[in-house]
Formats: sequence, structure tokens, C-alpha cells
Amino acid sequence: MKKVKHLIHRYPRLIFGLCMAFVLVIVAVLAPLLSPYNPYDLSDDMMVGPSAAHWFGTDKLGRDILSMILYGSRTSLIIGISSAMIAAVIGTIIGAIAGYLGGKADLILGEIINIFMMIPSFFLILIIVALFGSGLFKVMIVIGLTSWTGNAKIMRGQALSLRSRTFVKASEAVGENRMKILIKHIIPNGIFPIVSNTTMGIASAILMESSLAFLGLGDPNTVSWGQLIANGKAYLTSGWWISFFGGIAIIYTVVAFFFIGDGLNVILNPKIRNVTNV
Amino acid sequence: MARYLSKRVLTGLLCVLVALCLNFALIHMAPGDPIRILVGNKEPNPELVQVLTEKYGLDQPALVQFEKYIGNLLHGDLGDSYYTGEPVLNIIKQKLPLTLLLAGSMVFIAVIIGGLLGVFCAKRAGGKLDTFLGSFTYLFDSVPGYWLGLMLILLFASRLKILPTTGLVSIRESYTGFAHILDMAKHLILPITTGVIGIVPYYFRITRASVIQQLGEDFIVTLRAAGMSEHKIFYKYVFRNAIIPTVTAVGIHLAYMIAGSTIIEIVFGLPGLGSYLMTSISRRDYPILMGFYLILSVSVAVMMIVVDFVYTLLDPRVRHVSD
Repeated sequence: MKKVKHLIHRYPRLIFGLCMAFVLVIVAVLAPLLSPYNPYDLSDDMMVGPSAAHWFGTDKLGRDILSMILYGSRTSLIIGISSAMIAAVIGTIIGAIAGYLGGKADLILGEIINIFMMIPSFFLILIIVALFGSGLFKVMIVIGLTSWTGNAKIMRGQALSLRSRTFVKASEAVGENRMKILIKHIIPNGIFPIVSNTTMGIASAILMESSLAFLGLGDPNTVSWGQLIANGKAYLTSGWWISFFGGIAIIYTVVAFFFIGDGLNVILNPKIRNVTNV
Repeated sequence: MARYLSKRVLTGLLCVLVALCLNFALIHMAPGDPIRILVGNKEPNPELVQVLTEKYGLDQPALVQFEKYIGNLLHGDLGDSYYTGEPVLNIIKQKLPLTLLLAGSMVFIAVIIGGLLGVFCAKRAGGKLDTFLGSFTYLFDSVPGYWLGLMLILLFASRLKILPTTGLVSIRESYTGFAHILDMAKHLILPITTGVIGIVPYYFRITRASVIQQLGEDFIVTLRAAGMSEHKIFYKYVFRNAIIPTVTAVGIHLAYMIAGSTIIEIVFGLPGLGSYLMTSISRRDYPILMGFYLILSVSVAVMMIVVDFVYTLLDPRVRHVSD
């Protein structure tokens, strides 16, 4: 108990974020058991405000908002985690190669990273999803493919510093394959900042997906919080609850991942542990 | 310095070129025929389809179309809209001022609020208020702009009835002169507030981090040891140096906010670039999409170069390293 108290005192945001994320994962996994109704079922209770039968009310088709929110957590988590993982893998590989190999490879890859960093990604995602369709899989791929540059920059910096370390030099001296050194030493030793950045990336991807869904570019066959908010837009005065609770769910999820990312950042970066942990 | 800047200009140009290629390739690979949408889906007249396809050069190979597009671009011709026939440049000229006004106002207000809060917290780093505000900025960061916009409409327009819901002007009134400007300003309060809340945390963090960094510099310790007053140290040395990253961030942010205000324009029904873009996507109006994307990429690239230039002027260390 003392240890837990100490941990909470030392890393309040990380512990708080982990607890919030744990609840979210439980909700997503147990959504069918926890939901009072089927989120796709229509009923005669149309536009009913929050009540004992429908805690978060119902929409214009009589669907239960609470059930939609519980199921929506699955969409957000799947897209958030998958997109952030795609971005992490691409960013790590490109950054590690650029930083470790140096020379012309670094020059070319560094320039590619800079160029992709400058390209306005939200607009690009918007166009791709609008033109090529908006399935769950497509949305996660597109978000992942357009948000890897931050990870690449971080990994490049890590690899640049690691390549001059003794253990890497020793591996090179005994004639170990460069690819092997990259996979065995550079990436595992430089991956920690990517972990914290990827956690932040999950939060950004969830926000991005919800924005796309709000614009009508989400997967029409799945329940999504952004879509729920968009559905409630026309009924803002007569049915505020339709949009309201979807937004709260997004804020809760995004805050959880921001807190975890920030907490990891504080743990992994001793320089900012004391003063700059905002 | 010249070498460094020319390298940045080259990166900027490459960025615009890559953005153009990407945009062109994506749009031409996408399913859906713009001509079909233009003439209507129900049994289109084949001759009309043929004429329109030839008129817009869509029967030519993609590479020829791209070459032609780049050639026209160099002459300042962004093409004509498939849907309205109007030159893309004219449409952008009509829609851009409102988007710029929105983006500019948001960034301007956010930099003042975020900057002041950042300085305030940096001076009390690690304190309770600093930690509280730090957590609060994460909350602001997590709020989806479109949801916040809707909630502000619900509160201030629907319930309290003190501000207009959507649009740029009151349709029922026909104000002129100063009354017209006042009416427009009233309509822009909620959209700008929505945007400002979303970007304040960004400036708060930059300012806070750079002030803390400056406060820890060796020369500040020396100045303190020499007996200079804290007030003088802060305003003469810390603040001046710490403000550089914030000022440069404004430039880049301004360019990105042109795209960032899209959702806000849609929520509040404002006739800017963003809302027109969504209409163009559904119409598959390729020249408009390409034109908008070009403008956006060019603004980001130009801003990056300008920011780099300003940075090298303001901070001699950057100049030294880059040389």
C-alpha cells in the first residue's frame, strides 16, 4: 500500500492515466455484457432524455446512447492503437536506418522525414478517406501512414547517439552484420521515447478518427463517437444528450492516453522529471 | 547562413513538389468519375461525356495531365472548377480571406493567452498552480474542436441566446458599415473561441518550457550573483530569449491553421475554404482539391522558410551552428 501511495505521489499522471485506460479497455472488451441494449436496435423511445431506462437518453431512431458509447469505445481503441502502432513501426525503422547508417542514407531519409513533416496531414487524410472510402481498416492505415514522422525524428536522434556507444562499436569491430546491429542493439536501446510518443499518438489518432467520423467520413457500419456527435448536431436544442455524451467519452479516452504518454516521458527523461513535467 | 537558408528553400520546394505529386496521384487513382458526377448518373449522354472528358483533358495519360498541370501552374493558372467552371484561383481568392481572418485571430489570441500563462507558470514551476494548469491544458488538448463548438452553440446561442448560432452575418437584417462589421464580429466570437481553446495549450507549453530553460542558463546565475534585480533579469534577458521559440511557432502554426479551421468552419456554417473543400470533395471537383492543397502546402513551406530566416536573425547561435 505504501509503495502504491509512493508511486501515485511520484507519477500521479501516469497512474491516473493507466487506471483510466484500464477501465476503458474493460468497457471495450465487455461492451456486449455491459450494454443495456443493442446499439443498432431501433425502438419507439425516440429522443428520450436521460432517464432510468436510458441513462444517456436515446437518439432520433430510438437507439440507446449509452450502449452506442460503450460499443464506440471499441472503434476508438482499435483505430487509435493500430494507427499509432503503424506509425511507430514505420517511424522507428526509417529513423533508425537514417541515424545509424548516417552519410547519404541519413541525408536522403532526413530530407524525406522533413518533407513529410511539412505536408499538412489532416487535409491529406481527409482527401484520401473521402476519395478511397472510409472503412475502419482504411482509416487506421491512412492515419498510421501519415503520422510516423515524429517517431522517425526521435528514433533518428536516438540512433545517432547510440551508434557511437562502445557496445555498438564493439559489435562492429567483431564484424557483426549492420542490419543485425540495427535490430539487436540500436532499435531495442532507443525505443523507449518512441513508446511514450506512441501513447500520445493513440490519443491523436482517436481525435483524428472522431473528426473524420464527424465529417461523415468514418466507417458507416460501425458505431463511432464522432458519428454520434454528428448525428446529434441537428437536434442540439431538442436532444443535447446525443452529442454531449459522445464528446465526454472522447475527452476521457484522450486524456487517459495523454496522461500515460506524459507520465512515461517524465520517467524516461530525468531532465524534465523535476520541473518541466507539464 | 546563406547556405543554410538555401538548403531550407530547397526543402520547401521539394515539399511542395512532393505534396503536388501525392495529391495528383491520389486524386487520379481514386475511384469515381468526375465527369459522370458532372453530367448526372442517370444514363448520361455519351457525346456529352466525350466532349467534357476531352475538354478537361481527362482522356490523356496521367503523366501528360500532370505535365500540363505543372506548366499551367507556372503561369499562375490553377485550372477551372469542374462543377462551376470558375477559375480555381478566383474561388480561392474569394474564400481565403475569411479562413485567414479566422486562423489569424485564433493564433493571435491563443499566443497572448498561452504565452502569459506559460510565463506565469514557468516562474512558479513545480508549484501547485503550475501542476494544476498543466493538467488543465491536457484537458483542453483532449476536447474535440467540433464538439466544443456545438456545446458553445448550445450554451450561448440556444440556451442563453446572447450570440448567433451559425453563419457569418444575420440573414434577416441588412446591416451596413460599422453595424455590418459588428454583426460579423458577433458571429465570429464562438468559432474563434472554439479554435483558441484548442491551441492555447500549444503556446502555453512552448513558452513555459523555454522560460524554464532560460531561467536555468549559466548566464542568468551569473547575473543573479552580480546582484541584478530579478525583474530586470527576467524582462531584459529571460523573456527576450524565451519568446523566440513562441514567435517562430506562430508562423508555422498560422499556415497549419488554414487547414485546422476546416472543421470549425463546418460546425459554424462559415463560408471559408474549409467548408468549400468538403463540398468539393463530394462533387469530386479535382482542380479545386488540387488548388487548395497547393495553396496549403505552399503556405506551410513559405512559413517554414520565413520562420527559419527569422530564427537565424533573432538567435545568433543558430546562425553560428548553421554556418
